[in-house]
Amino acid sequence: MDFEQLLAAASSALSAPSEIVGRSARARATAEGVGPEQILARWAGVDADATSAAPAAPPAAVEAAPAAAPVEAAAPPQAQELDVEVVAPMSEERPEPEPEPAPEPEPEQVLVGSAGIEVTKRQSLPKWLAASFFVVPLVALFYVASFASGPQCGNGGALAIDPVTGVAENCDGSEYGSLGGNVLEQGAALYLAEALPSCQACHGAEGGGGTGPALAGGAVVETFPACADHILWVALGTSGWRGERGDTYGAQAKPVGGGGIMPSYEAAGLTPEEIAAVVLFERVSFGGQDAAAAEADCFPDEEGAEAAP
Amino acid sequence: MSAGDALAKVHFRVAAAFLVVGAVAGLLLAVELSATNFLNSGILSYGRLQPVFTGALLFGWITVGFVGAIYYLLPRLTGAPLQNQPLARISLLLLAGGTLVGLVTVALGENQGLPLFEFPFYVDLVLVVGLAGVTRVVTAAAIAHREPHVYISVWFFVAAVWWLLFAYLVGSLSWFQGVDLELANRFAEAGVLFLWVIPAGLGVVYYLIPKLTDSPLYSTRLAVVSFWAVAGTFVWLGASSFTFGPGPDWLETVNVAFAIGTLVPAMAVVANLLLSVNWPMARGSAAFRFAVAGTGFFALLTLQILALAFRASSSVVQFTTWTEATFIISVVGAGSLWLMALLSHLRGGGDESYWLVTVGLVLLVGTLWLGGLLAGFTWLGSLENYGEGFVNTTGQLAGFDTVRWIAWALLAAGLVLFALKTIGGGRWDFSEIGPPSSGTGAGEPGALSPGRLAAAAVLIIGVAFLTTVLIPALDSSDEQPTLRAISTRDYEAFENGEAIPLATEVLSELGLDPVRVAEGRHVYVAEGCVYCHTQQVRANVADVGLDAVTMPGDVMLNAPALLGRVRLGPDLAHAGQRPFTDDVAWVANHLADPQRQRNWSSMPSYDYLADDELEALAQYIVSLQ
Repeated sequence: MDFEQLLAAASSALSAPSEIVGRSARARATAEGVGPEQILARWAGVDADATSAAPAAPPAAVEAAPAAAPVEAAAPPQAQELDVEVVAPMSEERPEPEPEPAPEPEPEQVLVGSAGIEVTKRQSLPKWLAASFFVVPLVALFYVASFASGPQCGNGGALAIDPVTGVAENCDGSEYGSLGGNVLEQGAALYLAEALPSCQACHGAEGGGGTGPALAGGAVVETFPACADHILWVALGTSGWRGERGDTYGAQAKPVGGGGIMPSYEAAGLTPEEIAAVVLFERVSFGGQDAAAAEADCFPDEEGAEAAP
Repeated sequence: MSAGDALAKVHFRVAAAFLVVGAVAGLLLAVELSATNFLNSGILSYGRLQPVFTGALLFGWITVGFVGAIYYLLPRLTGAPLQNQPLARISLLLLAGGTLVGLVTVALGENQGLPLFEFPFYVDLVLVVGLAGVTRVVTAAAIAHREPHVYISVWFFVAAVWWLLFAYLVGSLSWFQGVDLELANRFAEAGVLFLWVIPAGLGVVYYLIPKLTDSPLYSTRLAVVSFWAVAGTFVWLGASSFTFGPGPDWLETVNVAFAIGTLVPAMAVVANLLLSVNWPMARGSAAFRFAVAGTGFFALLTLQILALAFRASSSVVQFTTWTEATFIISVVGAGSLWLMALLSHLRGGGDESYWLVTVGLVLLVGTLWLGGLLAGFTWLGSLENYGEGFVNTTGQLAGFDTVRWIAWALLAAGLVLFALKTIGGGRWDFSEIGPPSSGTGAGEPGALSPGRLAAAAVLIIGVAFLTTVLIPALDSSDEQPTLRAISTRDYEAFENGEAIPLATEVLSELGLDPVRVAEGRHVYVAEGCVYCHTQQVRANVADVGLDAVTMPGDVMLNAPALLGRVRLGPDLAHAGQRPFTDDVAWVANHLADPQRQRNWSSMPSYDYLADDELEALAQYIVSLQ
């Protein structure tokens, strides 16, 4: 490659105007006593291995110190504010290196240590970087302020613990896995759930019936005046009921299977509490029962609810 | 070559020898996960090999290697020759000899139950003296600097040796018990990983990247920011792997805040180094690639720490193989790659090792992370998280175990190749130290002197120790031990009648002998059972199937607390309440030949233990109520 090609390659590699690169290369070549082509080839990365393997320390010390001097001498007060982005990282190509070192190398911009390592004294950082150093601690502070009192129950999968027994419990202090809280809402959610053999698919979202009998308009309470029977019916389904209670169900002694096949929700994996919650929802929303009375009927007490089915 | 350089070279060769041990141990561990009883003859059993692996890499390879790197770099950065070389030589002898003896004792079955600090107390003593010697040499050399500018690498070196000394002292202390001991152990673990391996490596890389690419560091100010950010954030991360544990809740919140803070050093370091690189100059050097890859793993460390610290992500990844990635990323990833960058710079070559090591590491971390996520989500969906239920959740991970040993085969091949070349010698290119500049050593106006820097470093880690270890320990002094704290410090306490009378009564009701239970506990500790089994039920949805949550009182008087970090096997906190594991004879048979009664078990056989020891160990496991 001739001088022009190398010059073009080097100036694109260093992303600097070609006249500056050419001028510094010639100056550098004079200082090192080699041809300017060699310097350009090194900057262009054409022959990088040979040069970067053993960067000699003493020449680096000689060349960078004088480079800094003229700039400093010209405008020392502004040096602090100057953004030296172009000049500092590429100290080697700064123009007009003088043969003898400057008497007082000012350490403002480039220092050269005895190991040949240069140190820049850059004053400004990229804005995004500087900003993030304030944003990150703010986020951390915000986190501490939000969760000052430790893990909140329900946050990130945390549970409450009974301090005496060490047993995990629901956030409202009820037994873990029990429905706790608003049973009626839980029952509604279960009635509308798609994943189970869905209640609403056969009985309708409003309880109006479909494949299965209608529940709305008090029909469900007429069939099952006692909540316990209602719960047992839902838990067992048609085939289970037939085995345990015979061929008829409900106050009107309807034939089992006459209204279609009812699946067993015990077999579907609902807990007794969950079944009772669905039943409660049906009796209040479709059967028109008073919520408090129905709850007393379907959840007589902790033990009663478990014994019922 | 100067005398200091010759000393550095001896360090590098000793470190390389330990690297061979660590790499082979890592490969064996990965193979043993897939082939359960492979080479399972006592000294190579999984629970003993794990501390050999971490000890050889952390104290043998990284510590001795970085100390050598500091001895090589300090004279070049300060312009003053290394002082007090006899002390440096004695320290090397203590460090290398102590680590070697420590590795032999754990291989012979004398674990202490404290991960990363498994060596017996006399080895701890030797290592502390050796580390103190290193600290003195390094600090004195930095104080004697002739360069007016104290280069940023010097800051990192001086602080890092003090942090290592402090962390090792805390890690080897034995006057804590229960949760307090666990907190001290995790504080020390974070100390050696994040405040020794990382800063020492950053010191090397802040020298290497500008040197290799022949361009000055982008910004010294940014480097100073990164120094204080490393010092200010990583020191608080001790309990970041202890989320949902029986430690104080406020400490968990503190850990999350500082885990978020680790974004600052990560960004400052990565931005500074990338902006410094003169790319045309950087091509073709293995040393440069090692340095950049190491920096990449340093950036990954932030993600690792955040995932373990946040409660929501922690309830998925904690106790899975994700937890194991902390050591891999910080020591085998960042630390080793940075040290290999320097060695590759000094003696050339290393390209083959570079590809083997980085491909192996990426594959390994990927396996640990993905396998961890998969296991974690399966545990969340499973309420029966022990016995066969546990196996059903982990059986699907067999493929990950296979990828894991393939990754380790690549990694170990690369590391051993590199180590053998380092030991074998060849031509080292220790370029001459340039003439010291005419500075007076007084330093620049406003700059921190190395002496004050050391004081600041000790102050920072001291405050963190006070806040995250001592205050929780004092705070918990009014706690009462619960009935579950029935295995106390050691069985001598039973013989002296110091055991809690109630606990003795409970053990008798279970048909267990307190002395035998305590002996069994000693076997559990010595064999490293804690490397696969936790004894910690967390207060989160993932652990609901495991019965009562572990409270501080449950492990009171216990030293070590044996709470555990990883569940490669089921949790044992309430093993004695479960079917089968409530029967001493069944457990003893299971330990001798796990696959006979449970063909799906992945536990290695412990038939190399005496029948007497097996029976004691079984009594201990049944005692876990």
